[in-house]
Order: sequence, then C-alpha cells, then structure tokens
Amino acid sequence: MLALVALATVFELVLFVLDSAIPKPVPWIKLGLANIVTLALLVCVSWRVALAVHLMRIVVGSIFRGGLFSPFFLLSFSGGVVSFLVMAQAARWAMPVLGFIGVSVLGALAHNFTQLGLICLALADRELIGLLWPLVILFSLVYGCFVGFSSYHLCRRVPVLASGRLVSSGRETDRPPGSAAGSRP
Amino acid sequence: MQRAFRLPPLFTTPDLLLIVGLGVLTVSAYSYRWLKLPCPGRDAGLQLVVQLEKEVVGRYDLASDTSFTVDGYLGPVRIEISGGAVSFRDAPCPQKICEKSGSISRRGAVLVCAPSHLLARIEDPLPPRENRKQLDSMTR
Repeated sequence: MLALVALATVFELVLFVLDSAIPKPVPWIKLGLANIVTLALLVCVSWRVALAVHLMRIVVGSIFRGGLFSPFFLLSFSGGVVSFLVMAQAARWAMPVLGFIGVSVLGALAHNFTQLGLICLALADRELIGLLWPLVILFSLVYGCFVGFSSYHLCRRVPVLASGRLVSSGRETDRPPGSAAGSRP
Repeated sequence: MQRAFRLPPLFTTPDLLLIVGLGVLTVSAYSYRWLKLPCPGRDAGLQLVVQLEKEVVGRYDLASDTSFTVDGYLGPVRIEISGGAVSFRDAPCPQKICEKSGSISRRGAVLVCAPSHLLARIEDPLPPRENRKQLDSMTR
C-alpha cells in the first residue's frame, strides 16, 4: 500500500506540474488534472489513501512551484481539503446514483467556491462573489466533466484499480463505494 | 460477506440533471446581467470631468443626454453625451483625431484633444471604498 501511495503521489505531482503549465482563462481556476488520480483512488482504493496522496501532492507541489505557506498555498490547501471532503461524501453516499462526472463536478464546485470565498474575505469585497459566481460554475462544470471522464477511464484502464483488488486490502472501514460496506470518512 | 467490486458508472441521469441545472443557472445569470446593463455609464452613476490643461472646467452627469461647448486652446470644442457615452463632435484642431476617437462610457476612460489642450475623463463620484463594482486588475 505504501508503494501505491508513493507511486500515486508522483503521478499526481507530474499532473500538477503539467497543469501549472496550461494557460488559465481566469487567474486561479486550474484544470485540476491531479484530481484525476485523487478521484480514482477515492473510488477504487480508500479515502485514507486518497487523502494521504492528495495532501502530499498539495504540500510537495507547493514546494516544487515555490511559495509553501504563502497565501496561494493556503488557497490551494483549503480548496483541496474542502473539495476532497465533498468528493468523499459524495462518493460514499451518492456514488451509485451519481457517476464519476457528477462527483467530480461537485468537487470542482467546492474547490472553486472555497477559493473564491477566501479571496473575497481577503479583499473584503462581497461584490466579487456576485460578479464571478456564474463564471466559476461554468468552469467547474467543464473542468469537472473532464476530470471525471479521465478518472473513470484511468480506473478502467489500470487493471489493479478496475479489479478492486486494492479495495479488499483495506480495512473494513476503508471501503469505497464500489464495495459492499464502508464508513464515512 | 463482501460483494465483488463494481466500478461505478461514468455518467448517470442525476449527473445530467446536475449539469443541466447548473448550466441553465449560469446562462440565465449572464443573460440577466447582459439585459440589465446595456449602458455602463448611465447605470453606474458616472461623471464626465472636462479639463483644460490641469484645470477642471466642468463636471457632467452621464445619465442625462446633453451637448455643450468648452473653450479650448484653439477655440470652442463641442462635446456630446448621448446614451451614457461621451464623444467629441466639433473641434477646431486640424486633424480631428479627437472626433475620430469615437465614444467612451466606462470609468477611467479618457478622450483627448491635444491641440486644444482638452481632456475628457469619466470618473466615479463615489468614494473609493464604494466604487469597487468593477475589477481594476487581477494578479496571481
């Protein structure tokens, strides 16, 4: 399991760096390529593994990019944690009803609205939310669909994820939505 | 006893409803804003400030359509406010660059007639704390 965490973290970091190189239409809204791996781990392995990989990616990614513990790190960290919580809850409670795309869109919405809320708090400007929320929803929809689609195909193409072999190696409480039982993260 | 693992679906009907609902919300929000703000100058309560060199020679509300003449360095210059937009109409300058500059309607926009030493600028009369309805700039 440790090897999986290390491998997934490296994979997420590569996607994170690649994501930083893609031009952004709105300054802080990124494609969120790294979340492809987080969502795949959340569904096919366990929320503990997904959380460990997700947090390590945010911290190590900030070291790579520069600006650890800077305001941008705090934005990235808070957005990442809130979106993970939302995706984990959605995957746990709504996953057979919602598909990969639905869960991913919810995560993208949570991520972007957390960041927008924090920016508005920092700038003490309530009107910014009124100005930007439709744009944030629009980008969350497009990027969420892309991440959900990619994550689903990652799970299908990687046999160890698709077979659910890693699910059974977790504890009873770690089981993701695809298996019989599980607990709330 | 544990059941076999089954990969959840990529896309379901609730997903479609979620996406369509949010899409409709976004489009209607933008349509509402677009319909509500046909004219930035008139709706935001902006003012036109006319300067002859460094001296302010007049302030005009963009909400009311009007036309007036200001004495510039070369002679009288006619400035027109129409539908919240400001334009230079008749100027004695030789090349008429100010007339060809078109109209301005947004806060901070400037029209200049250099030979007449005249400058027309749109300002927000509210104090800085209250006039932050538009983004000045954004940095990352």
